[in-house]
Amino acid sequence: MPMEETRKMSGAEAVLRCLELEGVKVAFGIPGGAIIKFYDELYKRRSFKHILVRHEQSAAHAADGYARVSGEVGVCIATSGPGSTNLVTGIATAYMDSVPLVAIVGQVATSFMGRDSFQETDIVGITLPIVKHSFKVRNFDDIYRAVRGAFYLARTGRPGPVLIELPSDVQRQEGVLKEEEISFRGYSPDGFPDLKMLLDVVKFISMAERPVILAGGGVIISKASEELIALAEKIKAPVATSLMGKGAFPEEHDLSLGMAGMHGTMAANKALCEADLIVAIGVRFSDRSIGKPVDFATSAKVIHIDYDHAEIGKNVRAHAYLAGDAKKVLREVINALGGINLSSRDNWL
Amino acid sequence: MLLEELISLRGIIGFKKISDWKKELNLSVEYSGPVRPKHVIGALWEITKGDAIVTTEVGQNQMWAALYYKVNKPRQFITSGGLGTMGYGLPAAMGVCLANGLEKPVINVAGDGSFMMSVHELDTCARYGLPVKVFLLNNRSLGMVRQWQELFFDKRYSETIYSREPDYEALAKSLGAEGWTVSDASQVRGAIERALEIPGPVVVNFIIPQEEKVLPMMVPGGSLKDILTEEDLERR
Repeated sequence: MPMEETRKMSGAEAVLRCLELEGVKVAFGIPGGAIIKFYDELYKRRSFKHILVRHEQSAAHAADGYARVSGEVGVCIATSGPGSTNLVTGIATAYMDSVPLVAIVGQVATSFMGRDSFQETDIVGITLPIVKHSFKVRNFDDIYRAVRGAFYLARTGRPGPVLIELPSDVQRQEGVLKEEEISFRGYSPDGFPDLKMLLDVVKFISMAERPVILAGGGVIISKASEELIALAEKIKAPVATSLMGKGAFPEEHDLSLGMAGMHGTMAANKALCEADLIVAIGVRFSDRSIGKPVDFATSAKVIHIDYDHAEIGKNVRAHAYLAGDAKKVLREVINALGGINLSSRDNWL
Repeated sequence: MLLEELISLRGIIGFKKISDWKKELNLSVEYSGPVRPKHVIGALWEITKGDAIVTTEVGQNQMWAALYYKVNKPRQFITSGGLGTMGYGLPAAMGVCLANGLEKPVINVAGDGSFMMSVHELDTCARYGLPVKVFLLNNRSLGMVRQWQELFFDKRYSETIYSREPDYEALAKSLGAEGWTVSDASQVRGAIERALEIPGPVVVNFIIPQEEKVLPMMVPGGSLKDILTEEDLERR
């Protein structure tokens, strides 16, 4: 979207301008001293609907719920100090479940930093292990890249929460908002999938007598349900889901086993124990889904399909893996399987 | 008898077909006597035709909802999986309302432990007219921890049972929501239908037995083979 404005504006207005460019329709938050200028500009610009919650943790959870249902980035806003620390549980919740979230937090003015000023806390440091990325805005000229970059990082690749720290003096600083290209060195979320082991995958699927698919939240994120159904029907494999994968496969489908794990259905857990092949798609083999990793699938081959290379072999050893977006990868698998004949699986189902 | 023996008593599981295992999830129950989670989630599923967006809190309520509310579409079951954040479901439901339009009711399956961690947000629901329907499975305790204590800690209920509880109807009312209590299974359907018809936030306080457990259950620290069922416990 081209930027028509070359006039001077405040940092707060520039942030709002960027949020408008991102198409933000709603945000959840609570104002405070270090974010008051931002809220003042919001009062004037009415850039989006703002929901004033009763506690910042709820702002993060509400933004998270919005994101999980819409697939768009959820936005929450808080002031510095306690406002920002109250977001922490909500940010961690989004991080663990790979939810796209942008958290905008106020911070004391740059000249007051490091003095234990009123409501000063190192929120970037506190949230470092539970965000996909964070931006410390220190000048007006940082704003465009921070805000547009935050949305880009939150929603692309494996989604996650991104924090923007916005000092109060930068919100007041005047400048001209300049468009720039948003890219990050070493980050290329739209790359081709890693399909090196596709032939092994086809071989394992063809040879299996008792295959089970274990589908997780990655299938939902990647909008790959259609492909998942096609694969399950093609290879005649029943489908268990993790808790996060609930809804990835229709639970009233004949091949559905329901949820696996600590409180999973007998059908899902028994099938995973008895299987000779587990095709895991968009799951990270959490202990609540599979129990003790060493005792999981001891007599089965495991195919692991996940967007995130770091998940391969993290909890469970995979005999074959494919790394990439589930939708793209599943299409490749279905193509590679061709006209496979698997009539012998009727004893299993 | 030790838990391990109980499990081994069942012997080596003979080879069964998947269709046989699937029969074991039996949802049919009589709607009489005390309210049970199966009644509430089963009726919710039937009345909403499995089509509603459901958010959950964390613990027993979450697992009952996951087991009994079958969903056929992605982005329909909203829950804190990895972190397991109690108090997530009510504010998440508010976000769902904003994404989903303010006409369609959003269901929040809750337990009393989780609900009280975010109860203040009923006020936000009321201010913005958000149709969040809280179905509270109220067992006056931190039910999942209590369940572990019952099964694995010789019934030493350390700090899991509340010695008093709020007046949930008055609490809902003061925060701008409607609320009422249901303690008989025969009233479950009517209560759910009424809650879904009323605009704005509603809290239905279902009084369930404290000893109600989520089963089957994988033994903590065990594997998918170490599953405790209702039959195992009856044999105890």
